[in-house]
Amino acid sequence: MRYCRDNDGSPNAILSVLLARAVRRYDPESEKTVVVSVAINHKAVLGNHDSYRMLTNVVELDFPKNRPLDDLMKACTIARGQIMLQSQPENALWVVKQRKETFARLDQMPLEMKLGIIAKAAGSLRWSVGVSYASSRTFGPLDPCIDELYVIAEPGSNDVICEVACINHSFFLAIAQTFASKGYFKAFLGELDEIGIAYEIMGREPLNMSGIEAFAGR
Amino acid sequence: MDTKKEFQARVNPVYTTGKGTAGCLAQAGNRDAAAIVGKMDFSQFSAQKNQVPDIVRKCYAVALEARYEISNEMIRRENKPNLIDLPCGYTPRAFSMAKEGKHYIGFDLPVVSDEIGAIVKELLPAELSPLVEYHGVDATNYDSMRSKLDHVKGEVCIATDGLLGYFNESELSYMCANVKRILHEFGGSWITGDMTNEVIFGATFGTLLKSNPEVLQAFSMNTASQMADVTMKQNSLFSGGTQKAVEYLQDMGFHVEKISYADLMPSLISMTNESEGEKELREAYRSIEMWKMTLSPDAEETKEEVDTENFSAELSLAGGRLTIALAGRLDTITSPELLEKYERITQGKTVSSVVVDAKSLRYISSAGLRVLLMFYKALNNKESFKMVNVNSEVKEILEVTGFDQFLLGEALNE
Repeated sequence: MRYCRDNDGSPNAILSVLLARAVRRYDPESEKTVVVSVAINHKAVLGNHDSYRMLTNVVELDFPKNRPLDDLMKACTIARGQIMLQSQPENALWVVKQRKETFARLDQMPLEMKLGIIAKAAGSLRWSVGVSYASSRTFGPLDPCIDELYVIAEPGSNDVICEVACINHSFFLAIAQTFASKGYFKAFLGELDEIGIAYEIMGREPLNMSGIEAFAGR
Repeated sequence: MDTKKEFQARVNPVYTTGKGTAGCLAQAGNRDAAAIVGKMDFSQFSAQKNQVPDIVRKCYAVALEARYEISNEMIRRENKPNLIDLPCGYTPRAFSMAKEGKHYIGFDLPVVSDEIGAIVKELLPAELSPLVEYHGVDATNYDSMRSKLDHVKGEVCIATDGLLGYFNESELSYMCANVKRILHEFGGSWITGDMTNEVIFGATFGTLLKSNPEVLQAFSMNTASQMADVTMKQNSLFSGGTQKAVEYLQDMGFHVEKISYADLMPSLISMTNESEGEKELREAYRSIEMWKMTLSPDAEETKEEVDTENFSAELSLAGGRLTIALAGRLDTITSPELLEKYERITQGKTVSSVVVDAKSLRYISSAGLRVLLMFYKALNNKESFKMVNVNSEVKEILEVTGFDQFLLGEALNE
């Protein structure tokens, strides 16, 4: 968080910039724009923090090739500014309205058509990288007993998803990708090294539905 | 011209129109003006003089004498002990005002004040010398003017002739704010005919020549613009018509009165023995007005200042218009202070417009964007938010984040 403060970045903003820089480092010849999605809770934006049933969506950050990212503070300022505008209450209300109208339209459709649309949407990749960080978390009196906390998510609409959890003043990243190569992950670690953020790799494994490995062979 | 003057002239070519006015006053028959012109270098005007027909030169002389003397009459009627002539140009106003016992303070660009100050000092009778002074100032810089007024006692009349049309929007707002501060401190009034000055040429030419005044007025405007090397009349006092100009000044905290040129015009030397012509001219000037600004009774000036090592913000609220001048870095540390000052200065008051001058703003962080967005959202009329004089780095941040659509609007990099 100190690094975030020193570089005008929230965890979402600074991770978005570093993950975008990692894409550039991984594939320096590519001219494509890197698009990073950042998860947002629209109910919280509108003031309802009772999020047992969240209305989440994403805001989008674009990193075109012709915009240099060498100045980390400036890149974070821009990222944070983009997040700020997209997460204004007026936009949150618009998203909620759009969501309601979409579901109202889906309700009118025959089941087969509906299934086709949903399947198509689920399979389409929309963003290069996704970042998801709700807030720091506490389990009350259990906190001193917790060494690590991870949120695991499937990279459905992204090539790479980075789920962020924070507990006891430590950040834990769970990075999932749709491809086997380790090149991009190494590039991201290179970005952390370059700016002096210390890290520890706790594990690496294929993405499984948790808890059923022992039963998968049956 | 020596090197210093040549450099100043290249940097500030606008001052050359002031010399033209002095020449026309001399041609009109003003002896003090003729004495001043005799001491000046008029070589740059020779070629232009030869291109202009005699009758047209007479029309210019009459128009400029009328404008000059009408302004003098207005100054007399204001009856303040101190006259701030801003800009003073090369006119002989110091002579007549000192003779009438007024303390005359001529403000203009340094290249002008240096030259005219030396000439007037040489020509003025010794007993009147203590009443006259000239200073080089920047009308958009309050300190540069205020520092020359420490010894001034009593109310002031600030006379502006041929200046306001050269300002861009930001410069105009600074000028108005600076005049307001001076009037707050000393009391008095601000007079100008700038909003209707161009019309006097058309009225004069139309009356004296009975020909198409628009053509000749365009000739006059083109000439002035070329000489000044700037695009004229591109600010709120000129771009939206008279009513908008009045509203602008009211927003800035002024009460505006208008007095017809016809009610102010004395007999003109240039129209001696042409009494019928002078009468026609007076009637032609009936719709042209001198504007007098005094402080609006409800336009109290409130100021807040934030000053840290890397940042300063000057906020002033008058007549519903909040002006914020930022310098340094608006970041996580300084943004809360700006917000605090904003809330303090606006508490219980209505803010109808916001102008943010980013001339000295080096960098803006997301916290700064957030604070400005709050100021923007607090306005009822979102179009009344303007951010001006943005440098390239700040502009890039605003454009890439999308904040330019709200904060910059039309006033982009003035």
